[in-house]
Amino acid sequence: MWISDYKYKWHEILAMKIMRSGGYIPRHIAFVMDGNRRYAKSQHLRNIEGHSHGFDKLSKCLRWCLDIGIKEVTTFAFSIENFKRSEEEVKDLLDLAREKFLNIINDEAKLNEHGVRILVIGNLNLLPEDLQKLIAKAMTITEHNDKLFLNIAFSYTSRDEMTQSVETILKLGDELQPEDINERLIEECLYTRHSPPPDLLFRTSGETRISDFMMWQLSTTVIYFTNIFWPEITLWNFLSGIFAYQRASIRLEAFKRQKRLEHAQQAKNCNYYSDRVQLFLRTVDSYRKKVLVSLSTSN
Amino acid sequence: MFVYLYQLMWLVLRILVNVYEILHFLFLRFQAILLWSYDQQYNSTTITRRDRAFLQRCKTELTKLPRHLNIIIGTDPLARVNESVVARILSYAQIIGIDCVSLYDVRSELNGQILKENLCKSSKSYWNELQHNHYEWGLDIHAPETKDLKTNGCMANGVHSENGSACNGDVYQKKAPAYLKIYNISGVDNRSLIAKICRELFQQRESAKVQSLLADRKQLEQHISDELAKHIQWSCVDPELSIIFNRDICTFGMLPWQTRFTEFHTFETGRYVNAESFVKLLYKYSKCEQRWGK
Repeated sequence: MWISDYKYKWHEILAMKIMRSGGYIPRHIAFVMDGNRRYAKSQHLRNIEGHSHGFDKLSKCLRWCLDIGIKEVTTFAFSIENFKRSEEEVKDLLDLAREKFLNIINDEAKLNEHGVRILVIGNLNLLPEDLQKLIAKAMTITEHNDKLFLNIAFSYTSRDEMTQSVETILKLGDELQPEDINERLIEECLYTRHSPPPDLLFRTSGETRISDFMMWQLSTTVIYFTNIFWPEITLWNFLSGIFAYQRASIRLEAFKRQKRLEHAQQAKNCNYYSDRVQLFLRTVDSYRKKVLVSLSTSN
Repeated sequence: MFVYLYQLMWLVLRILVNVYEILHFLFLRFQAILLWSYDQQYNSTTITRRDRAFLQRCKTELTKLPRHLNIIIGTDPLARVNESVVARILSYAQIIGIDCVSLYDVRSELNGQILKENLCKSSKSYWNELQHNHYEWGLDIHAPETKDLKTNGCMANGVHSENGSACNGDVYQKKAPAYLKIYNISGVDNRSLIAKICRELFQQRESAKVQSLLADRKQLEQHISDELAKHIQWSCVDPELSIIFNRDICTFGMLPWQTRFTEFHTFETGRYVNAESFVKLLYKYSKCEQRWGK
């Protein structure tokens, strides 16, 4: 089940209401779900059981996000670097992913009821073909939902994403002029093209690095590191992160405003609204859509 | 009705946390004044000697040391840092054996951005601009002019190798002191540099080289890495540790390509910047375990 039926206790409901009333709720939150294996080790479980517990916690987190008013969640599920792990662990992780994406397809009605749209970001070509198809199908069947956008970074690194963006411009940008290319255009070719940048990055397990996750998108993001392992995360840890964000966003308001202005200026500078750039972006969208449809309908 | 009550409760919570934060800040500033006035009893040479001994002792306990230290100065007025604080950090970095330091100051000149000229004045050290935004820095070396073998007559009397002057001369003239490399990162080194490289590739996209890069994404990724290094003229590894002077952790868009495995730590706002507080961050860095995805 992707969205948990979490039963709140009275004091948790109160805390949620207080946090919501404070305003400054992040529109987009990103999670680095770290510490599954260390949790498994501490509980004398197999690694894959740690990952499975981690997934259960994700479904609770999605419920909390929905209830507090967060519109978009991006989770770092599997890095390209994770292919370096033992063959057995990679296989177990891919099997777990198969099971969960299959659940999406089977629980289509429930996800539609919650209005969850699934988008998998990453280099899908590196994954086994059957998993690619499952992912494409999960994305296709939820594409009309708009209450909660769930981006799952799978077979993803930020460098790969940025490289993919450059590659897209070089391969599909026949009509473009060199002066059309600036950071705004690269941003529009990222996997997260239709998403705002994350407001809050939440990383568990006490690590204080970003591990090649959405590096491009994080320029104004508040980063929150916490020592708890991901499967141990509670509503209180989640709310602590939200409260930290609320306080930080008041302090970073001027910087964010300045960046928003720069962003608008960049669009002007690179002829972003010109017909040829808009045509290029439509080509990118239709190309991606075509790949997705062909994957989801292939046998 | 209830909404107002919840808002009031949130406000009370925020005020309580702010009060705690301000009290903690004041405590740290008071502590800083005490430490600063203690340091005033000694001259700079004594302090440097003391710091050197302390840092060398700590170095033996650290399991790893960053080769490239990055400093981010954010927009938070409470976490304000000036040139003398940066100069102190540079001296600690050099003593402990860090190869290079990159500096990214988000503030505008009007809001106290660190200026190279002021940093030179404040550090009173050897400072050499190698190229644009790329410097060489070293602690002041008191090399007396009389140590010049050719002018002090030692060469003529033939005893230069035994009289000690040659030894001193070796130390001061032949052995190059280990300078710290300093990079001043500006906005153009961040995302816009990746865009610039993309534009360059786009202009030559019909060439066989670019076509071969497009055939393999890994190669293209490597090419972008190499080009970025060439443009910024790094001569050291990507930042391994970043110290953020800001109450909230934010990268402020700094080097999105190069900081993927950088450890980010905020410097506690209000705390006195001395060798002890600097080393504390190095201990934190030393304890972290990089798994590189494994």
